[in-house]
Formats: sequence, structure tokens, C-alpha cells
Amino acid sequence: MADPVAKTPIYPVRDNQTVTLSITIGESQAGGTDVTFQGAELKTGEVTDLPIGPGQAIRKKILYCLTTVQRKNPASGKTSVKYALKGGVQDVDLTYDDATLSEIDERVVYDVAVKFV
Amino acid sequence: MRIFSLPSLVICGIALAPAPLAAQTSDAGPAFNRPRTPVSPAFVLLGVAPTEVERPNTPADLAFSILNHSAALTSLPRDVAMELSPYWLMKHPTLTWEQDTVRSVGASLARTLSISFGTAEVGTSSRPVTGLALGFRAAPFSGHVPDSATKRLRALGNRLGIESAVIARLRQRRLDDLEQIFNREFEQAHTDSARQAASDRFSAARQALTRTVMTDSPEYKAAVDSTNTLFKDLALSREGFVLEVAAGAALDAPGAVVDSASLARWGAWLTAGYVGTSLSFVVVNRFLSSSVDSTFDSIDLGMRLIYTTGRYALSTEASFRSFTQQGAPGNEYRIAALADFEIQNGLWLTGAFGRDYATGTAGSLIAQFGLSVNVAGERVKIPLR
Repeated sequence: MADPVAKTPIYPVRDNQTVTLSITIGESQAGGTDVTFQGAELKTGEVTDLPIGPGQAIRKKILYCLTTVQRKNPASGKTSVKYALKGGVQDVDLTYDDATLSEIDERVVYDVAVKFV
Repeated sequence: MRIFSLPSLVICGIALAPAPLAAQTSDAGPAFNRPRTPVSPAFVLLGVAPTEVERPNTPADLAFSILNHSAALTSLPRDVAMELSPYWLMKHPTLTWEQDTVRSVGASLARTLSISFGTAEVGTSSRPVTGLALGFRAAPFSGHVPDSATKRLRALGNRLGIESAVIARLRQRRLDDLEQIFNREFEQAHTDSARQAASDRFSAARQALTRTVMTDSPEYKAAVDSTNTLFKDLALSREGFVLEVAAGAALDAPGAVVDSASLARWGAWLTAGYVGTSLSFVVVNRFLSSSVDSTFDSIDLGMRLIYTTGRYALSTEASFRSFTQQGAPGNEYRIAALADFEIQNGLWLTGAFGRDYATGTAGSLIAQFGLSVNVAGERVKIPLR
């Protein structure tokens, strides 16, 4: 199993605007995510337009996303996970592609903690 | 990297002489597979079976390989075996597996195109000859991922999410401590670089914590083993209509002198078929030509029909070969029927009956029955990749 990839991006939020999260697993690989916030599990599996909360309620807090990617693409071992955040000061797509998997069915865990400011 | 040159007999079998073809064993599988679209046409035309093939993953890897093998582009590369897929050299962060279940002709061509390149010494010690070959393979039609597989891939995604949840739960207490430290450092940082440094330390600490959970936790390992057991036979195999084309050419350069290089062999392959859940058929066509000795330039046409269900597999194959030059041997054909029956788990009764290419030679009657053990993998290979 490949070494986990850990990132801590910072996302500025706005009062009275709800932040949402979508996660895309690219390179035609399989994968699933566990999203936790304030110790509570928000979603497991596919994540699309998941509401996190209004800016003033989530500022200074951290959203944890653990995504396990498994190689199923026989043509490529590249992996990529895109975290799309909307509702903050600006919408952003955070894409991480640090790991390449040499074997079919090999896994890598992307550990992304979004710090809201 | 090492490259083994196949014996000349094999090279002739692929490209030139009829003798080895006529003398082949009465094994229906290999006889049918010979004219099929090769994965790497360049290596087939060069007559080598490289034990290591370089497959660069990025444009930078490719550039490094080229410079490394050609002495900074000052000489012909030696003993190279390289295969690359231009599409997969680039990043595709938004290409999900769902989007790849069905492909347009353009998308199929792009995603299946592979280019193979090889060089090898094909002469003798007294007359050294460097062989260079270039080939490509692509599938304008590559079928689709069946509904049953897409449902299982979605289920796999959910399971991988659950594995992530196991990690999250197992590391929660220690993570709370790390978060407190990070929040304190972040609040005390007054510059962007200081905040970035705090974030980097938090990332490194989480990475170490996650790694520890993944390697030391029996609970996490049990979750992974459970997923692996449930989905061990799940692959992105495709069904439906498939059309593959391939072509390549090989040059011989005596003494590794570029000016002396001349076309030695070329070939083209076409494979078309349909892969279904239980019924599959495939038609293959191959043309091989040699400028060194064109006597045995040939066209091969083959067909195989396979029906698999539960413990049975029935198939029939026919192959036809025509030599295109005057004075060459007459046309040849081979036809065979095969049956497999699983007597008990992993133990198969097999039978084959038919005729080989040259009916006048010993062993040309195909009549085989026997038992074989097959405890892993597919007993009957789907004929198309």
C-alpha cells in the first residue's frame, strides 16, 4: 500500500454563505471518501455538493476528508482527487495527484484537512 | 535492461518460413493466438521478447528515457524496449471511471493507442546488425463496462469510504491533540509563510498518524481484507464490440550505421469481435511481409467462437493462411473444436478435435483428451483484451 498523502489547504469563508464540498476521483480509478466535521461523520462514499455549514459557523474549524483510491485502471497507475469547495470567498478546485500505484488493486489514502478561515 | 533474442525458428514462425508453422503442436489455443493483434507490434517484428519493457508514465519520464538510451541523441539507442500510451502520459484529474464506461470512437482511439519501440542486435558476432522497430496498436471500438460491473464498482467505492471511516475513527483521539497544537500554532502565526509552515507540520503529523493506523491496526487490516475478498474478481473488463488495429515496421542497420538501414519486415493486424457475458467471437487478420525474403509473405485469417456458462466452455476455431508470392507453398487451413468441463472445483476435463495445417505431417490430426488443474484465474480467456 502506498504511503498516505496529507494536505492542509486553507479556505476563506463568508458569513451567511453555505460552503459545499464535492469530491472527484480522477484517472479512471475507484475510490470512496469519509468526511468528518467537528467529530461527526457527514458522509461516506461518493461526495457531491455536500453542505458543510454557513461561513460564520465553520470559521476556524477543520473539515477532514479521507479518500481511499484503489487502482482499477489497467492503463494507468496515476491517481488524482479533486476537492471542489464552493460558497466561500471564491470557489476553488483543489487537485492532488501525488501518488502513482504500480499494481492493480493497490490503494492510497489522501488525507485532506480543510482549515476554514 | 536485458533483451533476449528469440531463436531464429520463432522469428521465422512469425514472419517467414512455413516449416515451423506446419510442425506446430496440436494445441488449438496457440495456433489461434498467433495471428492476433499483438500488444507490442514492434517487439514481434523485431523478433525479441524483452524481459523488461520501459513504460514511461509522464512526459518527463519519456524525455529522460530517450536521452538516457541515445547518449543525448548522439547515437542509435541499444537494447531498448519501450511502450507508451500518449493519452495516459498526461494527467486526467476529472476522468472518472463512470465516464470511461462508454467511449466514443475518438475517446477509444485516444485511450487505447499505444506505441512500441525496440532495438536489438539481430545479426551475428561476425556481422553485427542492429534492428530497430516501431509499432502502434489502437482500438477504435473498445466495448463498454457492463452494468453488473458498474454496480459493483459503485459498491466498491462505498466500501473504500468505509475503510476511510475506519481510519478516521481509529485516529480520532490522537488527531484531536494534533488539531489543538495546529490551531494554536496557526493563531500565533502572523505571516502567510508561518501559517503555511504550521499547515505543513500538521500535514506531516497526520501523515505519520494515518500511516501508523494503516500498518498497525488489526481492525483496519480486517476491513481491507474484507473488501479484497468481496471484490477480488472485479476488474474493469469490457464487453461488446471491439475492433483493434495494429501495424509496425522493422529496419535492419548493419554495423549500427544509420545510412545502411533498410526496411526488413512490416506487418499489420486487425482484430474484430464481440465479447458477451457467455458468448464471444473474434475474427483476426494478419499480414506479414519481409523485404529480405518475400517468398513466405502471408495473410492469416482466423475465427474463434466461445461459449462459456458455469462449468462448461465450448469453442471452435478456424485458421486460414495464404502465401502471397509465386512459388510459395499452397494455402493452408486448420480447424478445431474444444470443450472444457469442470469435474470438481479446479479440476477440468478437456478435449480437442480437428485438423492442423499440414495434413500430411505427423501430429496433424488433433485429438486430445485429458485432465488439467486450474485453481486460479480464468479458465477460458475472453478472446479480446
